[in-house]
Amino acid sequence: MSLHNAAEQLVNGITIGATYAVLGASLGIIISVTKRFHFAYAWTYAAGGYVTAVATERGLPLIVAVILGVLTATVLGIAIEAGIYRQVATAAPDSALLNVFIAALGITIAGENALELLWPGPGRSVSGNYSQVVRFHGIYVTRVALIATLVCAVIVALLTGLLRYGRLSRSIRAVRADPDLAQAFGIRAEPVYLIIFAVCSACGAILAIFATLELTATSDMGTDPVLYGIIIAFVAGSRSPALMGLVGLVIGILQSLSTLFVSAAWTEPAIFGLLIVYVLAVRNRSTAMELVSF
Amino acid sequence: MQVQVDALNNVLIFAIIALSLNLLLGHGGQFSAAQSAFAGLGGYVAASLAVHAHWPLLAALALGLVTSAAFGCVIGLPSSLLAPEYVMLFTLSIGLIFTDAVSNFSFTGGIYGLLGVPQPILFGIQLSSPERWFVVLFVLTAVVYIVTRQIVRSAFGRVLRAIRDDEFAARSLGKHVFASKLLVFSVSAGIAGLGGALLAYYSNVATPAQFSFAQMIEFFAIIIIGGLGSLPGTLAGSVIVIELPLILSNYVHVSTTNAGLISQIAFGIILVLIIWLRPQGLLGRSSLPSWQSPMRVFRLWLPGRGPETVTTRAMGPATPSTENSRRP
Repeated sequence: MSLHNAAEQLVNGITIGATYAVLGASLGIIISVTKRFHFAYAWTYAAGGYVTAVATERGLPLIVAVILGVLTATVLGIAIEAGIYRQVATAAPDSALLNVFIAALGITIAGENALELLWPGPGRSVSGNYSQVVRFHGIYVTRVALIATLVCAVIVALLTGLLRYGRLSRSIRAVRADPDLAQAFGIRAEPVYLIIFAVCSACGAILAIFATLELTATSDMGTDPVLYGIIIAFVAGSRSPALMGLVGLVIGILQSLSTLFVSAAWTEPAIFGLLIVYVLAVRNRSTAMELVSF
Repeated sequence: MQVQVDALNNVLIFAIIALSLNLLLGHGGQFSAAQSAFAGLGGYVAASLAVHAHWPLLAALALGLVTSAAFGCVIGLPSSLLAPEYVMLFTLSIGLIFTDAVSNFSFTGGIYGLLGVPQPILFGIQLSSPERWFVVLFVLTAVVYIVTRQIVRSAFGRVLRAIRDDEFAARSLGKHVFASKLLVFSVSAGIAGLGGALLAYYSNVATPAQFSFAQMIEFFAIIIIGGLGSLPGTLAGSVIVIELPLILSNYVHVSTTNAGLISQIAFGIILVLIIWLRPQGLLGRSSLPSWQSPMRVFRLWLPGRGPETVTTRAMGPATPSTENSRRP
């Protein structure tokens, strides 16, 4: 192991960690505010990447394709909350947690297969060459990864601001603390939930688009990210997107540095396996009360 | 004819795994998204023994069952103590980590899986055709069904339902809540392992895709369609889930690939609709008097407390902060 190798893995870890930061922050907000175990985030994530790739294949400029991808994920996020989760939760409030989760599994499997049915093939790539590499003190990083890292930092900052400043932030915090009490003060939970789902789905789509630019979009590309995002949110055990983002960043760096010692194929399951153990052993009681507060 | 028998055999294998999930969730009130991992472990153990050590069928099935039961016991230890949201996260992670693990290990054949599981010989007869397999699978499914029904009807089954309905009350009556939860987790994992082992033998291969996240959702679709807690419903759910792609490809003339995709879309939509409109499942017993049922759809849109559902009964009422499940 040379210092150069370690530095290269550190940079790689920052780019991975930035992605985890956004995943942790956005899913953490959804869980803490809406109390929904939103596994269908995997579908909105994949849809964002898929639509962008297909739009570029049809000859649309990248920027238009990106807007289409983000809009698709945003609309799907809103539709899932308004059309399904809310109805399922209202139908049986006592078992809302499990019922919404099972509904989310159903949405995910139906949605992922619908993507494959609409646009057949093993995966979809964005037309054009986005594999340019930037060299910095002998360390190579793709231009897409570099831009993605900066965009992720901006997203986490914006999410932090969303929950900290302005009238909307007060509404979100009020609904998060107690939806019924917020209702008594004239703040309705439903619109807040919709905003949360819209914003967080858009964030997921942006991540998916960067992933598609580097590799390809596949219908199940969101499954691992959504799990990692939920684990990061539970590990952070905080309501602050900034802290969740920081935890995601650290996990990304640790994961990348661990490739110096362990095969790359094993680092992801190993790291997240250990995090699960940590969540179960340490966070089980405190996080459930603080983050989810069912 | 052979195609139909083959489909029927798959129905029987899926029914075994789904029965294990229904025992755990429908009667034990415990959620598990790791059932495909339990089935997968049984499948890989049996396939490894058959390919590498040439073990006889029954011995390999038995070890697959025991290994999965032991693994289920290990997973059940923390799961029995956790709050529901953590059980979801934990078991989901186990399922995905299992698939990652078997895709990466060389001795499990990587992403291609363990190929060339030999056609087994049972009592001197080589199980070389779906028709021969049908007898074995029918007998084993019947045995699993009867065992599961006996568990449900036994004193242990009553304790499970008591825990499912009100854990505090069960504890206050001196029932061993933790031990019962652990035991049902282990038994359920063992049955799933048997199903997975049969699947590996029957298809002559054990692959990560056979025990993937998508498969896990199919098992959920089976028990939700059939009705949580309903054992006959599980069999009916298996028929629907397995036969739908065949009906689509044979009678609606959809290509095999598209039939698979459309079936998965249908399962997803059915899962959502049933959990929303009829949480007790298509064949499950309604919690409402029949005259009230049509009104239920309208009541869903009204604010306030909804009717009791099977999942309410399965998981127990999620009282504020789910303190029930968090206490030791």
